[in-house]
Amino acid sequence: MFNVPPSDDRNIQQLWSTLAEQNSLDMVVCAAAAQRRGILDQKEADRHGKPAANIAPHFTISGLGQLIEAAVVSDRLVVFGG
Amino acid sequence: MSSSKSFICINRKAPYGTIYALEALEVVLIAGAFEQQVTLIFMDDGVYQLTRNQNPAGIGMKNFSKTFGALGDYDIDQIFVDEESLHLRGLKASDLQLLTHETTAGEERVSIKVVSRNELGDIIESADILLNF
Repeated sequence: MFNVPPSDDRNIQQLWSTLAEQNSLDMVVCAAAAQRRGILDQKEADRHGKPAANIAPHFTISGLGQLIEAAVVSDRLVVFGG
Repeated sequence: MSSSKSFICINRKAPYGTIYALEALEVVLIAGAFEQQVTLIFMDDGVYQLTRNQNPAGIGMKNFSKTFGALGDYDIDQIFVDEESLHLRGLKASDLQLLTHETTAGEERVSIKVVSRNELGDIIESADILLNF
């Protein structure tokens, strides 16, 4: 949550957090991927002895099993990214 | 998990240089552990993931391609490689790892199949869920 885009640019992370809050959405981050990129919630920060958590509001950290389960129970899985 | 769907994971990126190849494999292994039906496709630079004799020690990475050998144990035995991608990179099927799986009859079969773009289109159409890395 420590991203600081220029004031004339959109704040994508903020847009996601707002979208999730307004629509009661789950936004799940893979634990291993998050750790690789330096994104931690309080529990992970404590566990790894890091000075602070930095995950944005409304994002939660979980495991890949949630991705698989979500794919299985959903009507459609849409994947973005190059 | 009570039900299963057919997953296809399309790998387009080289094994090292970005983390996507490794993370794709992590997703695939979890799907296999959750007893989902998983098919793999390797195309574009993704075909390099399957080459033999990888040695990334010089960039501080471990050779994770060895893990592909375990795919058969998770019943991940449909591995398709795009023929055109190999050809454009000067690769042949013999440059790729020999990945095998055991059939229910106890026979050992090769898991990798080199296919054309047209065949890939049919394979992709047959899956419930597409993951693209």
